[in-house]
Amino acid sequence: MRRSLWENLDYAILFVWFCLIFIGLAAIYSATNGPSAEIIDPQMRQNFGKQLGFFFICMVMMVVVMSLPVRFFMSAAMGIYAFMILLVIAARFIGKEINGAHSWIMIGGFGLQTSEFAKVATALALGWVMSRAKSNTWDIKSAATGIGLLILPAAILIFVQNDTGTGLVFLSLVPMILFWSGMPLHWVSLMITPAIAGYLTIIYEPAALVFSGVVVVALFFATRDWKLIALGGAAGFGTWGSFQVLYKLLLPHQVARIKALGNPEEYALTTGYQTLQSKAAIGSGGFMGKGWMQGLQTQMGNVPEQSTDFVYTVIGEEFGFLGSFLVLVLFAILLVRLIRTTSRINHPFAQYFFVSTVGIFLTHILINIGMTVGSMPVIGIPLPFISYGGSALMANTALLAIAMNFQMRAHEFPAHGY
Amino acid sequence: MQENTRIRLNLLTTTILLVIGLLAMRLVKLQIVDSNVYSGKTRQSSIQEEVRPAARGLVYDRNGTLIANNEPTYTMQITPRFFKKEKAKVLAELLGKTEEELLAKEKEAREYTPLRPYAVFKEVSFSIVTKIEEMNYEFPGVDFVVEQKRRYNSPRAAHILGYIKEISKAQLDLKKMEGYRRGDVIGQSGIERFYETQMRGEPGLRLVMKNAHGQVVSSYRDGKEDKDPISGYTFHLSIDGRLQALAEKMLRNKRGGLVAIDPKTGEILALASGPDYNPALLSGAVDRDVWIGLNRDPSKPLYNRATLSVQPPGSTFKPFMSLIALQDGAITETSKIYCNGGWGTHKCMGVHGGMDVRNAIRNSCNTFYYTLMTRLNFARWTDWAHEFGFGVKPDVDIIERSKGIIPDSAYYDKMYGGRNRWKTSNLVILGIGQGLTVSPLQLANYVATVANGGTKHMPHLVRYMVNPAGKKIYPTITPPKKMPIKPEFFAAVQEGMRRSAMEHTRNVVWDPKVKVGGKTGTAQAPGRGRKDHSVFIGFAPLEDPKIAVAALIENAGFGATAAAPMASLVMELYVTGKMSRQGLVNSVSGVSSQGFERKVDWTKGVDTVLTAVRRAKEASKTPVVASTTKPGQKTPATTNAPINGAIQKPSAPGTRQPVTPKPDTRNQTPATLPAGTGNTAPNRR
Repeated sequence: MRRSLWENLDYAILFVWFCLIFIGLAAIYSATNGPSAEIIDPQMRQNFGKQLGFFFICMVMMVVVMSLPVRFFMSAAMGIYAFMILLVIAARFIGKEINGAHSWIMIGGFGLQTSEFAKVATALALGWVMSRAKSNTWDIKSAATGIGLLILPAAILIFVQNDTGTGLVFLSLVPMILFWSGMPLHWVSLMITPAIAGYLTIIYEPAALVFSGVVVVALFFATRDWKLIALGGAAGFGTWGSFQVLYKLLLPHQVARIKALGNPEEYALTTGYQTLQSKAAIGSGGFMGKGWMQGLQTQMGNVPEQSTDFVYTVIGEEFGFLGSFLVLVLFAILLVRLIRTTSRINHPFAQYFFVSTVGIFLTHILINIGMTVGSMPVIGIPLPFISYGGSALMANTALLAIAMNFQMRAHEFPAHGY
Repeated sequence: MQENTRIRLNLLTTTILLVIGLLAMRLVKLQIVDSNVYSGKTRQSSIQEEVRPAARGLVYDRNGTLIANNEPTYTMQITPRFFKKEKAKVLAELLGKTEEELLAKEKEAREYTPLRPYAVFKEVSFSIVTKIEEMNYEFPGVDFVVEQKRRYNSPRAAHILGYIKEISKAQLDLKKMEGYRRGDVIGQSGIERFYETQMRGEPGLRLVMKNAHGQVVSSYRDGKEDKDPISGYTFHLSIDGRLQALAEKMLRNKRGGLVAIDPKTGEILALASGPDYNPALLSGAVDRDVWIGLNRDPSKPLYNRATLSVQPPGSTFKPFMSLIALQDGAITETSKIYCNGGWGTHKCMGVHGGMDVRNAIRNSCNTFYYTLMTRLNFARWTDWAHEFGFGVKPDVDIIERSKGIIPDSAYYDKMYGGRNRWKTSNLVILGIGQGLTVSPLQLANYVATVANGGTKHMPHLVRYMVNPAGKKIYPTITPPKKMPIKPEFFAAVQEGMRRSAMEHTRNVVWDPKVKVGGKTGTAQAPGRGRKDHSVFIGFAPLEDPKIAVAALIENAGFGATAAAPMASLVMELYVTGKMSRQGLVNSVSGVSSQGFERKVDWTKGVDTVLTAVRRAKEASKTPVVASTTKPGQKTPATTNAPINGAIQKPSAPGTRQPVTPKPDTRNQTPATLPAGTGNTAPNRR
């Protein structure tokens, strides 16, 4: 590697990466090697050691990835994607089921979570497909190709494997790609309205109705286009309405599961229990936290899945607001740096890769932390770089390493007629 | 485009900051604003939940008599992490247990989880609880929870109510989504099982803050999020407690069942199985020896014979035969068949001469029914039997029920080893109710249908329930079905049954002014040297039937010996409200099933039974207690629990081992086979 390349490296991202993994290791250790070790699955006690090992593997991988030239990624993107999709399919048949998800292939003693690696492949393939787009107006064709041929098949395969969380991450790429490919902004707003209205309906129905009203009014002042306004109304109020229908159709315990999100206490006996304990853990941390290995919620084993999906509760309880806010700040720095880099590399391959990466990370953060603080439903999805899990750590590190590589080698991208 | 790109980059950055900002706001709310709420009074505490079990629903009979309710009991829990082993000796002394016993329980709890409370002793007496609670600080990690235990009154109605038991691991896996937890009780048979959802109520929840020593520091958020338990629905059964008690009394020394149904509605007025047991034996902490004893008793007290035991109906099948023969045109109301004392090798009880249908029922003329069987289409006969509820699982609010065997040609093909290996003459015995099997419940519903002139109701035990909000809830009842048989044919059969009961059997009549219809049956029991089954079906009063009864007493001789007087007494009590024939009650109570022997009377109070079980164990010196059970292991009660209430161990009725036909149905004569298979059917699983 040439000396000058190192000068271009975004050390902030590298530093944030180190910090997040370090915090994660501390949390995993506390959740699995403190007094609570008595009551958890004995296998989990090894989580800290394993994660440490994965961290070293990741460092090696990072160096390897960063030494590859940009054209390698451009030429191999589709091949990597095809290979990963094959692995995902294979996992359905030869794979092992872990926590209900059929997305694991066993290699040696370790499980390879294929859906995690498929994220990296999809981000690369999206960049490749979208860089074929010629016009500089909104190219709906390539966007549709990217979504229809790359994102949806992967998402469906992963949903079929019963890995809802990762499937949602793939779906979140759809609005990202549409947005970045130049979709008119009011259309984008129409697209995300149902998601927000649906969320508000579950949490607090009046808010959903107010929000839908605001969308309609905003569209009126922004466009004065009656069709758009009608669509906006349908997107907002229609979502609220369909939930009312859904509640009628579903079985009581399914409705309870949905409603538990808005009011976990009421369903504490059945579905809201995890959220209740998770919120209590984070809340009891207070401003300063109880100190490392000192959190009673953690050490009495009250929070389920604490070294993986609920790892943020360890940070919340033991490092308090200071620690958990620091994690948020670190994520913010990471994502904002990635976006800033996007503006510097004037090539769609890199840009779409960056946007996809940001979308993937943001969805992970929103769903995972949202779940632990009781704002999101309980969906199993790891917190990037912090949750225990080798596949997730390696896949997320790969995303970051490729991003840093592109940024370091921005000059290697061919001139592109934007 | 450059401009556009910048706008979109800024929008993306804004979205990122918005998401992070919203999450940060949530953190501020949780960790700064509401921090005290979540950490309770002291910061060094954690939330623990305590489940408060709900009381199961009350059960009343149709007269408003309370059959089952609940009483609070105390269960001691240990949280091993905080439990001080050096205090075990003192604690065991207070509890009246040995130190080893207590330490074994502690070990069991530790293996489950050292951090959560684990129930170790159920039904600790109140005086002991107060003593230990007074020295609360001496025994960290020990606490008590109030649980509700079933209390039973009279009648026992053991097989109707069914019993409840701690949820098994397999059941728990299935029911987790419905909010069941380890240690919860769940209905295992009877209405406790069928109406589990309504019976169970909703457990409450108390959230408390505990310190690092496992002691409760305060309630969580001042109990704002606690939930009071909601009791189960109140059940109003169609059972008449007086009838039920009478039937239970008469069945005590018999193997058999008696079912009484209101022919107008299908409401079950009594459903008794003999021998029965005191359901209190299986409520709360079940003694291991009692459980094993109940399961090993050869007379199978846990087995609901009224719905599960299937036997040949014998002559009680003849009214059915008459009805379908009339409807299918095999005979008319007046046509006669000549009885010269038998039909080939099949004998009749007498030489009856010319018999019309009414007198054929009266005299129970076998020749008449052999002949009918040759005139009927076999496939239609099978369909008719199914129509009347034979050979199919009865539609009833009890899960433990058998369907019995109604042969069809496929069945005979299999039995005789191929098509055309059997002839119509092989079928004739079906006409007199042999070669097929039915349960007492099926018989009762059939006689109810005959009594009301052809309407088949769904028999049911629950009239209505009252939910905690005070609303009446009616169970789902299948709408009644009209039999496609002309009313005058029913009238003819009813008249035949009147003659049979009032002129032929006679000991079923309590008041000559009250007309009764009935038919006895004496069914050939499988096995050499076995006494016949005593069977009876009847209804009263004839003009406007209020009650229809079927009784099937195994190995008790003629129909008129046991089943008929029993059914008659039940009918009299229901119709008149009185029992004028105390002498008959005593004499029929004296009749017992052949080979019936009782070491322990399971209907007695819990303490009496316990003493008897212990004494029997001492006497036999056979190591009944499973030697495989290690100390500290769960009671075998849980592991041996029959999932559906039926006892799975194949133990033949009676103490002598009868020559029961092999379950293999081929190469068997039809006369003994279906009965034999029927007898063992519930055991084969």
